[in-house]
Amino acid sequence: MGYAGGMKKDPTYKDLGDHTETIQIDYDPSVISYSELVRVFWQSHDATQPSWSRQYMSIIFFHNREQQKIAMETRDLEARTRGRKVQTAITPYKMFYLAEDYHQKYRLKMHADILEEYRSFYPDSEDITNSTSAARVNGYLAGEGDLGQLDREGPLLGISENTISRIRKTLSQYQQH
Amino acid sequence: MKAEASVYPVTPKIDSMIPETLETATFSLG
Repeated sequence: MGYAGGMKKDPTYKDLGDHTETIQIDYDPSVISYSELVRVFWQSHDATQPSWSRQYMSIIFFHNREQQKIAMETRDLEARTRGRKVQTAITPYKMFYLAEDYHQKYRLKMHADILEEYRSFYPDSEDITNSTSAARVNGYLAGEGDLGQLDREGPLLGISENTISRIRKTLSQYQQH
Repeated sequence: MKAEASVYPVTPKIDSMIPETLETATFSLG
C-alpha cells in the first residue's frame, strides 16, 4: 500500500499532495497472470463512478506495453458490460512511495497477538510488509481465499497451529455469509 | 567453531519460496 501518480516528493498520508492511494503487487507470473490481477481490479470497484478526490481515483499504472494492452482491452470490455463510461485512468508507471507502516497489512494489524507472532521472526516491520505469509494472512483475515487454500498453505505460513485455527474460524465466518 | 544464531530464526517457508523473477502490478481502486 502506498502513493503514486503525483509529482510531490515523499508524500505521506497527512501530506499526500497530488498522489493517489495505490497498491503495488509483486507477483509470480507462473502462478497468476496480469490479466487475472486486472480482472480482480475491475471486480473490486465500480470504475464507472467518478472520483471525488485525487486521493481516491481509479487508475491502472502500466509497467510495460503488454500491461497497457491488457488494461485498455479490459477497460473497453468493462464499459460494454456496465453499459457506461469507465472513469479509470490508464497511465505509465513512474514511481511508487510506500505508505507509512500503520497502513500496511491492515487486517493483520487488527490482531495484536498475530502481529506479535510475525514480529518474533521479523523484528523489522518492513520485512512484515514484504512478507508473502503476512500478505496471505492479511487476506484470509479479510475473508479472501477459501478454507482449502488455507489448509494447503497453513504449514508454509510459519505461524502457530493455534493462530491458523483462529484464522480458519474468521474465514469460516465470512464464508457463511 | 560454534555456529552463530540466525537473526531471524524461523521465517515462514512460503517467504523463502519466492522466485527472483517477479513482475509488478500497480493499481489505485478509487
